[in-house]
Amino acid sequence: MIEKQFWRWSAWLWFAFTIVFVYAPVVAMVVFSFNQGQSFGGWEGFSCKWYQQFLGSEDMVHALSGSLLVGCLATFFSVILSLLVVVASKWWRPWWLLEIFMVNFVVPEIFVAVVILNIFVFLKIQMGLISLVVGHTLLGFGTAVPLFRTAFSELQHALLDASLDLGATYLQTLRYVILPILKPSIIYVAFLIFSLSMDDFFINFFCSGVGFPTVSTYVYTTIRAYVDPSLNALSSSLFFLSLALVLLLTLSQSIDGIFSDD
Amino acid sequence: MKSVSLLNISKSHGDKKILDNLSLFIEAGGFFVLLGPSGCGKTTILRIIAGLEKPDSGKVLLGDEDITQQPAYQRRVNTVFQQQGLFPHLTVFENIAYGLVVRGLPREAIYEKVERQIKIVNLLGLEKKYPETLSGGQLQRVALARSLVMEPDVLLFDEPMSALDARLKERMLIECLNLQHALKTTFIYITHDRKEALMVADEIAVMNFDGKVEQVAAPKQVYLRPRSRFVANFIGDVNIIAGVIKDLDQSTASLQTDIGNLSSMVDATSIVWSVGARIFASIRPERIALSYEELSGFGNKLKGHIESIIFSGVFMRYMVATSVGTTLLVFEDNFSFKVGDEVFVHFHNDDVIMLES
Amino acid sequence: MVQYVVYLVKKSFKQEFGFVLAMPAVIWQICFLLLPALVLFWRSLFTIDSWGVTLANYVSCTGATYAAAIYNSLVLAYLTALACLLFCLPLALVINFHIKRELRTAVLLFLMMPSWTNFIIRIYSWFFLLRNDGMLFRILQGLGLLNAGSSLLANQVVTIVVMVYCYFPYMLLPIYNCISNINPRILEASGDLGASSWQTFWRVILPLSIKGIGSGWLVVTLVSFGEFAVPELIGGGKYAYWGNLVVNNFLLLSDYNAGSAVIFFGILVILASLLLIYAALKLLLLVLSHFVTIPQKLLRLNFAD
Repeated sequence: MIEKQFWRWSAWLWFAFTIVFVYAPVVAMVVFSFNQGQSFGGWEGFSCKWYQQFLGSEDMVHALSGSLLVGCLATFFSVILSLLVVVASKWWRPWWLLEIFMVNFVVPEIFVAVVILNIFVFLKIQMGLISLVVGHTLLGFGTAVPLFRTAFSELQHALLDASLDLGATYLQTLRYVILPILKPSIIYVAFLIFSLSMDDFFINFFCSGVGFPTVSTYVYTTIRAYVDPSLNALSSSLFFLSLALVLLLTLSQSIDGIFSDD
Repeated sequence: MKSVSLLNISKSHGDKKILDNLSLFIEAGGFFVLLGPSGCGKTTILRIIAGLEKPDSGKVLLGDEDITQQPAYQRRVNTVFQQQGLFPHLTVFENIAYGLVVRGLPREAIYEKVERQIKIVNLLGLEKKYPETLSGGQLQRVALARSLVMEPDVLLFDEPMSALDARLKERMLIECLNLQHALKTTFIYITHDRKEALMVADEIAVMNFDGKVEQVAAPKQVYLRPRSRFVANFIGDVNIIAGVIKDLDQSTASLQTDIGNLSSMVDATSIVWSVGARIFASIRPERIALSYEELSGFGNKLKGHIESIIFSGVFMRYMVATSVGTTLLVFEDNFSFKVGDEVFVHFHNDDVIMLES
Repeated sequence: MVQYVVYLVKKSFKQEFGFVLAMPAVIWQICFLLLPALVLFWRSLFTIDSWGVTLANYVSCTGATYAAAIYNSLVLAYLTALACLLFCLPLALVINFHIKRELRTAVLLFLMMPSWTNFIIRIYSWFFLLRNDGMLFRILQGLGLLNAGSSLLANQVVTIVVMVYCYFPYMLLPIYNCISNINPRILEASGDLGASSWQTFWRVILPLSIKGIGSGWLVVTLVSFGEFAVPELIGGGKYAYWGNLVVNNFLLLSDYNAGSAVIFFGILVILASLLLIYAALKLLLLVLSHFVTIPQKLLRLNFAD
C-alpha cells in the first residue's frame, strides 16, 4: 500500500517537474515578449512593442520568410519523392532501394551539411535557396522514408492486387487506392518534415551562403552580438505557429496511432 | 465464357521451384476446382492466370489468345481474393463500381450496372456502407459483385471461404454454384478443403506438395477412382494396404496383401497392370460392411475384432483389427458394435482400387 | 522523334512502374548525398600542400588540439545520452502507467510541442532564462543558492541540461513505444507472483524496453556528437568541440581536405566508441550474470536497429 502511494507520488512529482522543465523557457519567452521594458529581471507592464519591432525589422521578416519558403519547398519534395520510393518498392525492390535512405537518419547532420557545401562549392554554384532546399529534402528523406514504409506496410497488399485485377493501371491504382488510404500518414509526415525544416540549424548554418537568411542563422549571429528583446517576439511567434499547426493537424484527423515508430 | 490453357508453366520464388513444367486445360463454362494442400503452388497458378505474377517460362492462353505478356489490368479475368480485398476507404457501391470507374464508363452506365449487380447478390440497402461495418457473408458478396460486374471471361476464386464459419460456407458455396450455372462463366476455384471441392466442382485437379497435378477428373471419378495414393488420401478417408498382384485376368485381379488375399476389379481405362507388380490397395471406409455373421454377395471377406470406436454423428468410426494384424478403418451407421466384438468385414471387388506403388 | 521518346517513357512507365517511380528519389539521394560523400572522402586523402594520396589529414586529427576537441564531443554526446535516458525512462513509465489511456497521446503531444520550434530558438529561450540579469537568477540568488559572482551560464552542467532539453524527444519516443507495447497483464502476473514494483521493473519492464532504449541511445549519441551550438551559446564557448573543428576547417580556413578528414574521422570515432560500449556492456553483463541472475533478454542486448 505504502509502496504504491510512494510510487504514485514520485510519478506525479516527476511528471510535474517535466512539465516545468519543458515549458519554463517557453513561458518565460512568451511572457517577456509582452513585457514593457527591456530588462529581463522583472515585469514592467504589458506591451506589444516588441512584436511591432519584430514585424518592422526587415532582417527578421526576411529570415522568417526565408525559412518558411525553404520549409514549404523541402516538404513538397521530401514527401512526394519519399512516398514514390516507398510505393515503388512494392514492384521494384533491389535490396538497396530503401536502405540507402537510412544514411540520412543515422549520420550527424553536420555531415550532410558539409557534403552539400562541398558540392556547391565544387560546382561553383552559389549557395542559397537551392542548396538549402536540397539539404532539407535530404533530411526529410531520413524521416519520411521510414514513416512511409511503416504506413505502406500496413496497407493490405491484396488491395493493390484487387485494383490491378479490376482493370486499374499502376498509375490509377496509385491515385485511387494508395493515396486516399495513406492520406493521414502523408499529412502527418508533411507536418513533421516542415517542422524539422523550420527547426533546422546545421544545414542552414553551412549552406545558406551569404545572401539567404534563415531564422536559425539570424538568431545565431544576433545572439552572439547582442540580445535583442524583439527576439522574444520572433520566438514566441514561431512557437504560436507550431501550436497552430499542431492544432490544425489534430483537428483534421484522429491522432491515435500516430506515435508509432519514429 | 472462355477456356484457359496453361502450357509448360514454370515458376520459382528465389531458389524454391514452385511450379515445374505444369500444363493444365480448363474447359470453358465449367466450375473448375484446383484442390491441394497449403503451399503447393495453387495460389501461384491463380495469380499467373490473373496476371499478378509472370511465369518464368511457359504460356497462358485465354481461349485461343496468348495472354502471357498481358498485364493484369488488361486481362478479362477477375479475382475474388481470400480476404476479399475490399477497399476500406470506399463504400459498397464505390467498391463494386471501381473497375467500371477506372475504365472510364459514363455515370449512367455505371449506376445501372452496379445496381443490377447489387440486386443479383442480395445487397440492397447496403450501398452506402463501408466494409468495416459488414459481416463476413456480406463482404464475400461485395467482393463477388465487384468482380462479376466486370463481366469477365473467367472468374478466379482464391480460397474465398476460408474465413467463414461452416454454416455460412455451405450457403455461400451453393450460391456460388447456382451463380455459375446461371452465368455459364468459367469459374476457377482454388481450395484446400476437399468438401468444398466435391460439392461444387464440375472438374477437380488435385495437386500435391511438389506442385504437380496428380489427377484431373470429375468429383465422383476422383473420389471413387483415385489415381494415386496422394489423391486417395487427400480426397477422403481411405484404407491403404500394400500388396502384390498374384493373378490377373480381364476383370479381376488377385492380390496378396498384408491383410490377406483380396480380389480387386480391373479398371480397363487406367494403368496396365502385370502379375508380380507391387501395388497399394485402397478401400473407402464407408464401402466396408460390418456384421457378426458372414454375409454372401461380397467379393472380399475378412475376420477381425473391434479395436476402438469414435462417434462421428452420421456414422461410427470403427477401427477393426484383422487377424493378420493390420487395422481397417470402417464407417458404419450401425452403432451396435462394441469394443472387442468379433466381426466380419465385407467389401466388393469394385471398391478395391489398385494404386501404383 | 519526340513521339518515340514519349512512347518509350509511356512504355517504361507501364512495364517498369516501380523503377520509374523510385528514380527521382534515388537520383536525388545519390547525386546529392552518396556520390558527393564519396568525393569528400576522396578529398580527405589529399592535402593542399602536397601531392598524392596521403593520410596526413587523418594523422593531424590525432594531434593534441584536435583529439581534445573530439574527446570533448564524445563526452558531451555520452553525457547527454545518459542524462536523456535518466530523464526519459521515468517519464515514459509515468506516461504509460499513471496517465489515462485516452489522454496519453495528448500528453505526449503536449510535451513534444516545444520541441517543434527552431533549434536555435530553443537554445535562445534557455539563454534568456538563465541570464545573469534574468528572473531565474534573481530568484535563485534570493534563495541563497547562488552568490553574486557565479553565473548560470558558462556552466558545464547547464550545458547538459539544455542538451537534454533539445534532444530528449529522440529518446522519449522509442522508449515510450517499447513500453506502451508491454501487455499490462504481464505486470499483473509479475505482481501476482510476488515481485515488488522495483523487481518488476528490473526483470520485466527493462528487458522488454531494451530495444527502445538502445535505439534512443544510438540516435541521441549520434546527433549530439555533432553539436557545437549549445556548448558555445550556453556553455560560454570555453572548449572546442568536433563541430567547431569542422566549422573552422570548412568555413574559416576553407581547407576542405582537412575538413573532410575531420568529419570522417569523427564519425569513425563515434561509431567505434558505440561498438566498444556495446561490447563492454555485454561483457559486464556476462560477468555480472555469474553473481546475479539476469534475464536473458537483457543479457543479449538485442538492439535490432
